[in-house]
Amino acid sequence: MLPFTYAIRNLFRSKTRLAQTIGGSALVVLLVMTAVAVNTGMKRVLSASGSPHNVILIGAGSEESIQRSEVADRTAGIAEAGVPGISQHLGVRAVSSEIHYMNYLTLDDGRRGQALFRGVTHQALRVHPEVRVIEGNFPAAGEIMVGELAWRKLGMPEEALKTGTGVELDGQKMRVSGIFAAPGTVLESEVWATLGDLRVLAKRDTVSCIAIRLDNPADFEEAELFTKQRLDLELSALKESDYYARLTAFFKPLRAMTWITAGLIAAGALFGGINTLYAAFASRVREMATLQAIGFGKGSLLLSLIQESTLACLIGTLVASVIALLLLDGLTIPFSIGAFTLEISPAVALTGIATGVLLGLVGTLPPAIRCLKPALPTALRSS
Amino acid sequence: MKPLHLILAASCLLVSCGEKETTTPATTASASAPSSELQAVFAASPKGEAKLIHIARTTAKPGDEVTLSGRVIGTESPFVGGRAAFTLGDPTILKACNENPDDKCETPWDSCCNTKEEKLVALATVQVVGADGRVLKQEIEGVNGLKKLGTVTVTGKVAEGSSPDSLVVNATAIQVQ
Repeated sequence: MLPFTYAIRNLFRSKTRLAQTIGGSALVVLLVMTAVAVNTGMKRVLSASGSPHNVILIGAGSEESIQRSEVADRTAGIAEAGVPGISQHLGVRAVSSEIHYMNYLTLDDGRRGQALFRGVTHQALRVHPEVRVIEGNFPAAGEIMVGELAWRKLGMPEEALKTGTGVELDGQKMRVSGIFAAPGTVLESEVWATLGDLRVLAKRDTVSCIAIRLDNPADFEEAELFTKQRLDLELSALKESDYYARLTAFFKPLRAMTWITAGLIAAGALFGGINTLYAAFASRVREMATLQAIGFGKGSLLLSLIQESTLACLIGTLVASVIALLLLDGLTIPFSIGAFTLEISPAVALTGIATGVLLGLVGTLPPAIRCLKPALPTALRSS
Repeated sequence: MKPLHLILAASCLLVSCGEKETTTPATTASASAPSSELQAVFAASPKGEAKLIHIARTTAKPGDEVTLSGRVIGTESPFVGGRAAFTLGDPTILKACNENPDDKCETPWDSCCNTKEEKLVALATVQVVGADGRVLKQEIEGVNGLKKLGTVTVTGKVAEGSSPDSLVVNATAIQVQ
């Protein structure tokens, strides 16, 4: 068996090649870690956004888009009386009429960005208990309350949406009344206004949906039964968690694209690395033959070459991990219905390490085998 | 090693990173044996002559006994999951879309070829209630061959809260044809 120090010393024989290997593997590992972080981040935020306790009553036929849905305003009162199992606090049932409205928000300085507006009453806080007003107040008429990550979705600096800031929505001057948090959900990227204001701005006399919070998620069938017993209201009942699960499925191609991009670049880097190693190992055929001649087996030599290459790839992995922790961890990424935060979790870090090890193994084997393949007399005579 | 082998190996790596789907089996039929209350409703015979839903709804009042004939149709999911209830449609108004020439609709029971107004006048809700007056917590789909687009004759009492806009019948007899 060749000593481990032999592999380490060989690493520094060509500093250019070492830099190439480290750089290439760092790029691949960073891409894979980004792809995993994006995928898990988007899935996490969408799955956390839908509570299994919540049911959404939307217009029949509008199951794919709450924004298109039209539900009669009186439905909230009828559902409150007709659906058993609704959560109650101090005798008030958790039923919230909401308008979902996508539009542009303009700042006083002219900057504008698109956001999802939710027209609500105070009842929304009973149905979405994860929402906490962390600064300022719940909006009154002429005011909006912004989610903690709304600035990212709007593509504005964080300080642009401070409490008290003047904004414009559909030509209507409004004021930011406060900021709310809803950790880990897409709600944090939304802008909330009063139901009355959005009804006027969206020019509608209906609401988008009625959100209901149930004590027991198993009572969803009661809400579904209600929609069948009141066919005149033309409703469809959806579990909030199912709605966001559908959105997760909708974004699947986008997540697949991150994998495909990472895969293609990784394949390019892998073949580039293999090419470099073919050239590097080709010049060491005689060296390997000499080591065989003094008694080292082909297995030991192969192991030493793998050690050498894997070490370089692991240094690249380390570099990629440091970059990921410094630049990616906590980075907020906007997407069409909100924003999510990248997290370099232990799972992401382990995936990066596994990628680095695999790069070292897969990238070394073909050139190493080729280097050790020639018969000893031929190899000793090679130049 | 040939490049093809490398590509295959890289593909395997990527495939192994994909998430595993967790699927919940769809409930399409009665998961357990029907209760005696439900069986009794299917064992009973409808009384009198069946009326068309769009006619019956205009005169039916809560407590009246009515006999209706129609098809299990009218919504994307005409059966209520976990409850003994379904929507019954007037076959003279509501059509299964795939019965139109050259229409290959995959969910013909949702009557997507009919207008909202037609659905409003042609639909009734049929439910089976227990002794406590609540709808039975049991799937009715699949019981005695009851299925989407199936033709059914139902006798029952018009439920409390039912109105001409939304006819609800507490079934005492269901006959699947």
